[in-house]
Amino acid sequence: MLRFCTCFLLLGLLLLGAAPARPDEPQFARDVKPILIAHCCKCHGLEARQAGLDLRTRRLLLRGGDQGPALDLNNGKMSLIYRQVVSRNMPPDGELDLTTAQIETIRRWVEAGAPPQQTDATESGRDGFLVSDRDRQFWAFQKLRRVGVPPIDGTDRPATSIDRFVSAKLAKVGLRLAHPAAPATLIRRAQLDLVGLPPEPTEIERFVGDRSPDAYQRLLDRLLASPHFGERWGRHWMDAVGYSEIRGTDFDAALNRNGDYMSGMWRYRQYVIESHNRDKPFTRFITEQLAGDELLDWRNADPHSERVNELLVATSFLRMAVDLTWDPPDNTAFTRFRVLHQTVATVAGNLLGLSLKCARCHSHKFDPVPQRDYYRMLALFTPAYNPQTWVLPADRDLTRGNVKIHAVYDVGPPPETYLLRRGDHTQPGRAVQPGFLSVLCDDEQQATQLTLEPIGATSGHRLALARWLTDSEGRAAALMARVQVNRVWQHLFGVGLVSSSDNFGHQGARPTHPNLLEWLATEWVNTGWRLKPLLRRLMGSAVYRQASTDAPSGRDRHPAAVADAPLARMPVRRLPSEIIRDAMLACSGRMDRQIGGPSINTEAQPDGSVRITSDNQPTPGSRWRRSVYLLARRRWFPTVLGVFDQPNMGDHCTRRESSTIVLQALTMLNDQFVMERADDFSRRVFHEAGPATEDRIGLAFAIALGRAPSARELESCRQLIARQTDRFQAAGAAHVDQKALACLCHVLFNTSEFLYVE
Amino acid sequence: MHSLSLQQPSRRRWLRHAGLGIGGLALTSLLQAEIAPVHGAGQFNLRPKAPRLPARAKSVILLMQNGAPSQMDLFDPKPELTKRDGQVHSEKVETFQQGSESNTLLATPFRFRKHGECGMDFAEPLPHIASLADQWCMVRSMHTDHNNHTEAMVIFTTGKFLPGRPTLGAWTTYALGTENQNLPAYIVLRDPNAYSTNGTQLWQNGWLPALYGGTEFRSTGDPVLNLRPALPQPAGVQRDNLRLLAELNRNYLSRHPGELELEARIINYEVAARMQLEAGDVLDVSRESSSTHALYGLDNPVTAGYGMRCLLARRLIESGVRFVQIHPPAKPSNQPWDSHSDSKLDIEKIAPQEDLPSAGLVKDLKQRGLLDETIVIWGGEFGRLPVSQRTKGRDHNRNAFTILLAGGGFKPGFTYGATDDFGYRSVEDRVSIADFHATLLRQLGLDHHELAYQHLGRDERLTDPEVTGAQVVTRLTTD
Repeated sequence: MLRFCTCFLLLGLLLLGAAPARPDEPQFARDVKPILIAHCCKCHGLEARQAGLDLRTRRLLLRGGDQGPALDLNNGKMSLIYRQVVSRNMPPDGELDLTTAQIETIRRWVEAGAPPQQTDATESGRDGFLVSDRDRQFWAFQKLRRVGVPPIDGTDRPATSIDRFVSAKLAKVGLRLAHPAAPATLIRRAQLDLVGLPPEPTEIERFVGDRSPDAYQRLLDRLLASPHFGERWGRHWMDAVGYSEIRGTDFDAALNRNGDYMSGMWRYRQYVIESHNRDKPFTRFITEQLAGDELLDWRNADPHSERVNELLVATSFLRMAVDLTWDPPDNTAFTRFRVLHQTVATVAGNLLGLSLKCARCHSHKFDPVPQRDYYRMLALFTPAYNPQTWVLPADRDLTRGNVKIHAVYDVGPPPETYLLRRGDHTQPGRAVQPGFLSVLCDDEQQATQLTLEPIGATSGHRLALARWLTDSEGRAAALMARVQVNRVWQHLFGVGLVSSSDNFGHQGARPTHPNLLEWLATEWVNTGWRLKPLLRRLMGSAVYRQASTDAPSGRDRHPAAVADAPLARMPVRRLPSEIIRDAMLACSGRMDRQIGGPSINTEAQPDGSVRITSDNQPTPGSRWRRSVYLLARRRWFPTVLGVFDQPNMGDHCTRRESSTIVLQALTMLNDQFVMERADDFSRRVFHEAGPATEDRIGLAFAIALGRAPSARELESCRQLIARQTDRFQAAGAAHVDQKALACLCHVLFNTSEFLYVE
Repeated sequence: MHSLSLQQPSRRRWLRHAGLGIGGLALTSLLQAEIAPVHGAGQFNLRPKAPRLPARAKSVILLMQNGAPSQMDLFDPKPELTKRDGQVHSEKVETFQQGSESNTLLATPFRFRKHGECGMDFAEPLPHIASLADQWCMVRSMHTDHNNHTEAMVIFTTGKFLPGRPTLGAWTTYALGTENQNLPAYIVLRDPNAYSTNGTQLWQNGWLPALYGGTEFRSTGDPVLNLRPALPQPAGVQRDNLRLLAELNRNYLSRHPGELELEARIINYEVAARMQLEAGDVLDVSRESSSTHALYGLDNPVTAGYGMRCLLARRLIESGVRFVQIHPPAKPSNQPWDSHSDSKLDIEKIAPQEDLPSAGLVKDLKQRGLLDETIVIWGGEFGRLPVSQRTKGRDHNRNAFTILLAGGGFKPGFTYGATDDFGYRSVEDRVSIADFHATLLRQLGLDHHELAYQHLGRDERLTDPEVTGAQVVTRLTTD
């Protein structure tokens, strides 16, 4: 195999018609091109093409002009450029004259066979370069390594391993962690982070009053065991896979329920939520999703078997790409390949934190991913998504028992898969074998060695992919563990240890705490790839438990100074769109906390808004259910969600935006949903609190913000209620007390404190 | 929350925050941009900027025609094609859809006629547009790189086929800011029932700061949702609510000093309050005369939707908005000019919705003296083939298409470039998308080599001239 590859390399180079560039030889892009651009291209380039000649790229040199090619690879010294330059014929006398050294560079380059830049993107359709061991040395592509935990820093606070990593780095700039957050702050933080619901006043009271040393651990245990945990953390995963119940692009406001809608897709959401609640090991979790159908012979299994059907539901993971082929005019080779391309992009982006989109058309410019490797990955999916014998989306769907499953499974034997020149399906290049990214394998051989365990009528390609990814000793698993652990960190701290959580390649950021990331990834792998222990560890740290209000000690609070001191306090994070809506529902006392089931209908209105009405719902109260259960369109989100950065699911999303746009203020002030929930909230307070105004204000604060108002705030609130009472009275309104209280409740929904978690 | 306490203050993020100061605070940035107090001189803002070169135009109206209008059925008469209708074409054409290739020449079902003093050719489906022949500059030799709608639309709006780059409107507002600080600089008007193909991609800021992205306005009622309370309130209720809110938000900020987002949020509420008072009547067309309503076809249900967007475009341009982008009707489809099965039927579904309002817009701009400084672009992402798809329809053709330009120093009554005898390939005076972009920028007083933004260590340009070889097509313009 290795020999084969070497032969191929040589063959490839013959095709290129050039010897590989040795480091000491002039290279085109680095050495030659700058000379040509500065001295020749004024007349033979962009603005002018005298003699029909454009000398900006090697390819253009080969193409030449009126007098034929400027560069002849078979006879370098007879090349036009060589003759003209070495003879000092060109450039014509004047200010653009070449120095002797420059002429020498061009001469040596041509005599060496005019090698292209090693990663010359113009050489698309060929390997361009292969992956070297040096490429595998890049930090993210290495195997996991054991790292030691820094020593205790000498402060009197108990420090977890995480704290020691973080404190060690802070100490270098003379900083340390902030003081611990107050219990009321901590329970709100933990509860919003783990289950996505603000704590009820009674829960806060109990926690604040609990002085036992393990009170916080028990809080975490309770929240991690809550069935709402899966709703909160499942949603993160749904983002990462690009969860949608729509097959196509979803450009139309009106939903075509006949062709474009996957009515059983909610079962995948259910699968994700339950898997999170059961704390399924991540390796198992993704193996089921990549290849649940290949884990057993489902075709010959009992169609009512829940276990079998769960594995098939898991493969909906691979049904998220935009698939336009359900509509006959759009059933083209192009749109079929688009499904494949998006599937590869999502799998690589989500699991490995790599953007492979470049490698569709040419070898990656920045990362060691030859175009060949991209098509190797693509070939893993062609048995299921065979562009030649395409199966329409509806025909892929299975009905087992009375369960509709939007599954993925091999539709026939593996077809030949070709590298596509320039990513163009009408320009197939050579055939490629299914395989993996070479840079994440120890060598070439490993990259095409699939561990096949075919069960039933299937190629086993996707199962082989899952095995490769989950081989805890391998490079792929190492990268995947880093990426996933980093994403969990990002969800808790706002920004990952690698801030570009979607790009671990050369263009991505480097980790701020490399050893901590490495340590977390290793621990995660060694403790069975389970999320809940990881969260318990992270949230048990003093880093997580610290206050967000402390100024970093010894430093000016100028933002630039703060930027130097990440993690010297707990960052303030805006809640995601769903949690903002859920929190309003929870405060209003209206929330329907039922778990699971089909999606809640949303309707695009003629005025451009999207609303959740009581029409066409499983039950009338369904519209008060948590946002994770809303019909998952790719765009057209209920307005309250849309303005708070609900991600467009035309693609997947591993990091949400947190914008601060005026539409958010307008929505929170004026939207019907918000105003009605504020009204419900005030009714609840009206009934649950005593008749004294300060009791009502106190309860409203406790429900919405999880704290009591300060004396001054109390006074301001009292004044507001008095003024608004007068106003409603003057307007002759009924229920003036409750309406005035609703104004306060509405204000509380609008506060930064409600919208953020500190 | 991406506060500066968490990460390196990336240049882009920092400047996005620094975009607008409290003093010069404008409704502009209101919808898209993030607003924060200035911590240093803001390099990025929407204040009007004078271009370095003499400008022929101040603003742009892009009438986007998704789906690829058919050049040989609308703008580019091909007698040879008509003569050889039904014969197999000698040149094998590049097709897009598979399984329907025929290479059989298909004559246009429409008659062409010369219009205006200039004698510009138009076929029957666009009589009103044709009646303005002496205003249009018709470019028949356009060509692009991709044969699928999605990619070609991205090329048309951003210059390259992979999504993620800034759009023409974003580059324009980045370079020139905008005249009216009370309205967004770059406004998008689309059919409320659907996005056109590509959706919001077509007005994204890409890696330019967010304040340069397009802002969607609705075309009826208030320009944005939730400009007024959904439930009635006595006057003054909100004012007092906002006062308490500001107090609570300031308290919160004082506990988290230096968090720019929290500061921005306080200012957002001030802007929101002003917007509610000021932005409501931007779209109020009730004071426009009935003849204006008729000019844009507001009196006819077929043309009213697109017509309203065209009228609003004029009002917005008149108010000093820099770039208005209009998307076509969503019926018969998200790319209404697409026509694979029957050119005649398909064109007759879309053309009547757009013909009168498009012409009305140009006429109205001309009457009001606005056309000289406004560039109007009417065009789609590519053209169509001279051969049939074993139907009466035509497949995609990236090798030739026609666009119309008006105003802004483009030569009126001028036809530029030519295709081969069948309209398959642009052969004379070919104009690439990059050339087209370079020329547009030039009319706005901008040199496409100079207009750059550093992204990932590379100076990026709309036209990427080093790669595309973009050149200003000086023969398209007066002077």
